[in-house]
Formats: sequence, structure tokens, C-alpha cells
Amino acid sequence: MGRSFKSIPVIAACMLTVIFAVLCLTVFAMLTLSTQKADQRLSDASAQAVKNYYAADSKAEKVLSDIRNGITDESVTEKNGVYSYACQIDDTQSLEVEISKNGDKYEILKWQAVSTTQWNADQTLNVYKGK
Amino acid sequence: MNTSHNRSFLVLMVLAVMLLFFALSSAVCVQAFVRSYKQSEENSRRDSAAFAAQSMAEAGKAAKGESKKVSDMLSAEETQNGAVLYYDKNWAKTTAENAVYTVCGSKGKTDTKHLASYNVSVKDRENNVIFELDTAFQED
Amino acid sequence: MKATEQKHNYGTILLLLLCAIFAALILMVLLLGAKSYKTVAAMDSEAFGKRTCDQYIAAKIRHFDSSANVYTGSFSSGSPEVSTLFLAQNIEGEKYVTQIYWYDGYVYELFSAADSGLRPEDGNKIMKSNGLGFEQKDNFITIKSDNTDGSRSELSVYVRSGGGGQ
Repeated sequence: MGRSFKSIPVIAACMLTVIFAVLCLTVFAMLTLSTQKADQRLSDASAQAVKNYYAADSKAEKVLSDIRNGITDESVTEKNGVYSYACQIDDTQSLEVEISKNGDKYEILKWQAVSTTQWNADQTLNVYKGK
Repeated sequence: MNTSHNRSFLVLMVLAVMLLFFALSSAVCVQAFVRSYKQSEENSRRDSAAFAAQSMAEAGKAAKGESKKVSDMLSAEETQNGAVLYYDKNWAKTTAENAVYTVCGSKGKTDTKHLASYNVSVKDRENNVIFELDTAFQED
Repeated sequence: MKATEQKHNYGTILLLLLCAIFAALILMVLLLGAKSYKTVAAMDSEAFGKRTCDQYIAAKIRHFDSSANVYTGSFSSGSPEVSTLFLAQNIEGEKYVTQIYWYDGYVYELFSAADSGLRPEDGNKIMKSNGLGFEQKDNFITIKSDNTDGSRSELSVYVRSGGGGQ
């Protein structure tokens, strides 16, 4: 009779310890996975941004070489020997290029990444409304 | 006597079951840890490779593909068609003997007159490509 | 009777010892798990620091790449040893300059009119860093940053505007 009272607390303590340990381990595993997933998203976005920029850059170089070869399409505007065009980098940016051409010589006036989305400032005020 | 034996047996059985349960859940959680660690390492490697590739690509464009100029700009080794940089496991520049990662930049031809390409690839020791970048520049 | 009692005591002690070993092993596994999480979080944090600083500056250079508006030098007023990247722009006929530099443990950015006389501490803190330097050779700018983990990373950017050929 005495022994049954000793074995029940032992079993209970062991069970509680195991449950606690499994919970802690699971929480750590979930935390680690979610931290790594967040970093993965950032890393993927960063690598994709680099690739997007160079794809747009290569496209811009192709258009420039076409201009030098005397070929221009409708995306290129020309005014007083200055050729302007843009190549899309991604949804929010484009590469704007301005070239000054004089015979065979050319000069790059602008090779600038610009934002194509409008930035709207948050103008809301957290004003106390009573209740 | 029999009763006390049964009770001890019961306690040991409960312990064994709990141990098994804990072992199973640990196995799953440890897998998650290992996978996260490996993926984090992979991400870090790719980020560093992207940097190295960008630098080589920018030097290739600035030097219009000339191997000597590219190697001077980046303190790289000149190759027949471009330049090569060697990095150790911490992405510090090193020699070919101690290299863990290799960044190769090479000039290429295109179908368009006045346009040349500069292709950059970052590889590890086993020749697996970690990051690749293609860019272009104007030829005179 | 006494012998039986002793036997039972040994049994109980053995059982309790087993439980104690079990608890110790569980604690060890938990500590390993915590260490793994700490390692992964530290790796991700370092990677973020390395990646963000240099990519941010490279993106800034690309956003200002026109009419030779990008150049390097020392901070505009009073601090000759602060290596600075200057990104100039013209707003309504007046020259404004964005200066990016490292000062007192942080990467700073300062947007002001040219020759404003502002000091390095007047800028906005962008992120923590152990050091940042710029080297320019013609239109080729190299960004050298000392990361918080002690490593050094370099990123080179070619400023296309001002270039040309025939």
C-alpha cells in the first residue's frame, strides 16, 4: 500500500518532465524554423533583386548598342542628340537611361534606377477619441 | 511480493513508454534544427557569392572585358578570357591552393555589333555553381 | 522482514536514480536545442548585417547614377578621417548632397544642402557596423565594410554615367 503511493508521484513527475521537455523542444524547433524561413525570404529577395537589376542593365546595353548601330524602336525618344529610354527592373523600379550621341561618339548622361511606385506618406494621426 | 513486482514493472514500463515518446519527438525536432542550420549556411553562402559576382561583373563592365584591367581592379588572377578570384570558407580573398570558392569572369560575344557579354559564375570546390550573373558592355 | 525492506529500499533508490539520469538527459537535450536556436539566429543576424549594408549602399549609388553625381571623399566639414560617399542632386536649382559614412559604431546617412556645415553626428543612424570605407578609382567605387562578426566584405560598383566611347 505504501509503495503504490511512492510509485504514483514518481510516474507523475516523470510524465510532467517529459511533457515539459517535449513542449520546450518543439517550441525551440518552431522558433528556429521560423527564423530561418524569414531569413530565407530576405536572401531570396536579395538574390532576385541583383539578377533583376543585371537583366535590366543588359537590356539597356542592348538598346544602346542598337542606337549606336542606327536602330531605334518606339521606346527610345530622341531630342537634340540625346536619346532616352527606360528598362523595367521589377514591379517597383525601372532603369532610366540618357545617352548623348555625336556621330560615332556617345556619352552616358544617366544610368539611373528610379522608383516607379508612388510613395504615400502615412498622414494619419493617432488622436484620442474619448472612449 | 508479486504486487510490488508488478508495481515496479508498471513504473518501468511507463518510464520506457515516456522515453520512447521523448525519443520520437526529439528525432523530429533535431531534424528541424539540422535542416534550419544547413539552410542558413546555404543562404549565407549565396549572399556572399552574389556580392563576389557583382564585384566581378562591375569590374568587367568598367574594364570593357579586358582581363588585365579587371585583374588590376580586383587584385584577381588574369585568365585567357577574363579573371578569376579565389575565396576561402569565410569569403576572404586567398590563393588558388586554399580556395574553397572560385569566382570566374569571362568575356563573350553576342550577335549584336558593339555589344559584348561578361559572364560571371561562382563555384565551390566540387564545381557546383552557387551563383551566376550575365551582364553586357559596349565595345568600341 | 528487514532484508525485504532493504531490498525494497534499493529498488526505490535505483528507480529514483534512473529518473534522475532521465531528467539530466532531457535537460541536456533541451540545452542543445536552445544552443542550436541561438546559433541559427546569430548566423541569420550576421548574414542580414553583411547583406543589407552593402546592398543598401549599392542601391543608393544606382539611384543617383547620373551626371557624375556620385563620388567619394572625406566628410564635408571638420572630420577629415570620415570616409564618405557623396550622392549629389539638384533640387529647384540648389545642390543637395546625401552623405553616407561610418561614425561611432553606426552607418549614418545625412541629407543636407551642400556646404551645410553639419557634423557627422547630425546624420541618421542606418545600422550598426564595425567600419565602412570607400575607395574610388575613376568611376569604380569599392565599398569596404567591417561586419559585426569581425569579417570584412567588399562590394564594387561601376558608376556608368560619365562613361562613353566611340
